[in-house]
Amino acid sequence: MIPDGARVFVVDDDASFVRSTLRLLASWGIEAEGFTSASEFLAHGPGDGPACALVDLRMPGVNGFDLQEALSRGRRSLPIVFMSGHTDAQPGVDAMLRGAIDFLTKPVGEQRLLAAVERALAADARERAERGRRDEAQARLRRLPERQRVICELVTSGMGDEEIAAALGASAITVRALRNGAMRALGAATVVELLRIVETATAA
Amino acid sequence: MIQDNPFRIECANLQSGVSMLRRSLGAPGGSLVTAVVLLAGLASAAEPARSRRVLAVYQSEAARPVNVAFNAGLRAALPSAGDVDLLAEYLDAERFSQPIYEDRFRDWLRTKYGEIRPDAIVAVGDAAIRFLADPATTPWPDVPVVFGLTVEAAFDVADLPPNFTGVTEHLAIRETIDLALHLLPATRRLVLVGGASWVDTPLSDLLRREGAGFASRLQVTELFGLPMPALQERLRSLPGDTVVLVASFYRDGSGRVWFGPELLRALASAAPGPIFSMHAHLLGAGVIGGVVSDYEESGRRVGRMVSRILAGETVASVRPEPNAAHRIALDGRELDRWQIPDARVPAGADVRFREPSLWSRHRWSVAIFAAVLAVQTALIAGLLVQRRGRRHAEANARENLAVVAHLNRVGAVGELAGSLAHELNSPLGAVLNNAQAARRMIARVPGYSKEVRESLDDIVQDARRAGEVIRRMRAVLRREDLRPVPVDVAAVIRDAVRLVEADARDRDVVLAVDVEPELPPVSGDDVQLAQVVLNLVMNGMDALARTPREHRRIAIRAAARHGQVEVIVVDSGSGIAVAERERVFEPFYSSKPAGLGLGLAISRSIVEAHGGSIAVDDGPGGGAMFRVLLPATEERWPAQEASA
Repeated sequence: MIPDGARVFVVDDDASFVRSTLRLLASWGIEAEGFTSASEFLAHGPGDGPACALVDLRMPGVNGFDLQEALSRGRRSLPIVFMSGHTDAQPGVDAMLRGAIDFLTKPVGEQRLLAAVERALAADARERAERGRRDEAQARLRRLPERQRVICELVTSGMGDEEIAAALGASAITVRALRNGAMRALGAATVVELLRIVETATAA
Repeated sequence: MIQDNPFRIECANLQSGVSMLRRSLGAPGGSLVTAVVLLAGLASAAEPARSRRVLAVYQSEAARPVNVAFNAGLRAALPSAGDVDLLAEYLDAERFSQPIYEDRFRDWLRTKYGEIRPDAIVAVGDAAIRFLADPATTPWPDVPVVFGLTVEAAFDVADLPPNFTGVTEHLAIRETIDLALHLLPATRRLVLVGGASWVDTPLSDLLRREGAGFASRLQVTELFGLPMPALQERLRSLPGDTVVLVASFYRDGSGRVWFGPELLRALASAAPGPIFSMHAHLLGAGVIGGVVSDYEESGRRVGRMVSRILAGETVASVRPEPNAAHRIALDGRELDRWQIPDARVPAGADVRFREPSLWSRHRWSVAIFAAVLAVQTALIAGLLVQRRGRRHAEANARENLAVVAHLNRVGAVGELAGSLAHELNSPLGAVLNNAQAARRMIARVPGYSKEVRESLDDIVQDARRAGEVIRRMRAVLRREDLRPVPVDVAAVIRDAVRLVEADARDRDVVLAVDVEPELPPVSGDDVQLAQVVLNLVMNGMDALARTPREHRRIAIRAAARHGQVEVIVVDSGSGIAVAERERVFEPFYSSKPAGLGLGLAISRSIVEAHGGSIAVDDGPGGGAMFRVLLPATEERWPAQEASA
């Protein structure tokens, strides 16, 4: 359930809490790394591998929300599980609204913590797969010859073969041949699959 | 160089003429006299002076309070009326935003002022600045423009055309929040309010950015772009430890346009706490105040810049400047309304609208009235003392003082509980993590004794229990965390009895539980309700201390009664005297030397928070009978609630 090579970053100003959490994660066989301030973690960076972060909400200086915002401006999105010693409901609601995976109040039972970490890593895996598919589709689309790429774009804009032919001043047979060539190159068996690939490549 | 300047001949303003000449001739201060003489000669040779035209282009309509304030300052700082003709046009950009509109507005300005080009233009507000700075829309690209009423970050001054200079505003948002926290140290929530129009959003973004700096100390809630009724609804739902901060609210989410005073009336009627603002001109309209920018002062600064340019200075030499004149301004009536003691008002703060006190207005009548009142009170007090006996009264006073002291201590505990929870939960979390980790580690090593494992199990369990205690303590002390869920009263009684069983055995008290099957659920918090049952049973056990061992018995019964659930706890003791029955629920009333006297008081406040009632009566055997009535709820408890 824990992806290979996954890494959990633990960020909390309470060094003893960080140590104990690292031990607990290690006892489950999860690789983890601890930081006692948000800026320390930001300086280190989230890396490229599968990962998530356990972050204390209230820290002096850069707090959990600030950290989340700083990370969201970075290259990769990192799923975050917030923790807090406070039992107030409002910060938890805020955290969830800002897209946190979970909000845990200390002390956290191990099942709850493990479940949250698993969910965060699963979200990260989904995100990575999504990104992989996007990169792949973009690369394949980039490799297409110019004319085939134009056909793909026109197909996704909803135009039929006849309309494309009229627009390009080519025959419908040529258009079909180019489209079939593009579909072969992209590994799309149907027009619907072609649409999906182009859409994936252009998704934000 | 003098000849190049057409204004020289027309100049009738001695002061500006002097300054111009001094600069033009490079004359140091010592040759002032020469300059004046020179000027006098020039002026006498001049044609009749033509008054110069200054056109102020306002972003928004004339009646906006901010424009009124700015205009007053501008007019005051310009040379006297005969010399300068101050004209005004209103872009009204918030209402008219179609692209073609700005072109038509330009064409119309050109038509209207065709013959009489303005000598200087004042651009008031971002939209007016954009309109005049854009070569595509400005009617007069080379007339000097002095801008005002723009927040410092809105434009990069270097990007504006070279004929632009002006005054920027710094909105003291952070300073205003600091002021709010200083005036109201108990503040827990900061609500940022902003309108929905494009004029409002940049200032709302500014609020959001500055407010984020307080996220570690305050719960920051953003209410931007809502329709007024929804905004009021949200404000009303907030607790009293809230302050509201509003920067810009031109239009609400439904498109309605709001003016300062009516906006503040609408907000103040719904806001749970005082409304702070960074704008001086809103003081008196319902805001408590803030670290304010004074837009009349902005107008004056802009006016002084315009005067310098009219006097012949080049735009480049009139450097843009910030309106840094901030001050703390507060509305005295609002200070009174929110009960902020004067001691907290920072020194030097400008407190307005302070009603002269009763004392200062009617000093003598008040003094005489007070004296009469004092005599009268003394007479009544004397009679009372006589009647009830001096001793008794003194004892009462002492008791009251003690109650107050106790209550204060409990209040302090409530304050402490918040920070205590954080301070304790983190190490507790570390204890729990370590114990859980250790338990897993030794599970892999064969031959570890069962005792080590059990001891770790206990550590895990106790750490969790301690965490739960802290959570409940917070809930009880704050009293606002009651999250009502359907509660099974039978289970509540079972839990409570399990907790006191051992104690009861030690004290030879027999506990008899009789719960009617199929009780309807009540709505509330199970731990708090268990606390009530626990308190009542413990109280009963204490009451049985002097009862012979063989007669010590407490019966706990629960039954459904006309849409309510009735819980009765009755002991076999000697009962409570009728006169004392109401007092037993008062805080710190205790018949036991060691008792704190809080158990029944806490029970009553819990029961009342659940919409129920509690009373004490004589039981069938003469002991005390406590009766708790809780409203039943239709709701069944959901399945996951039972398994959680």
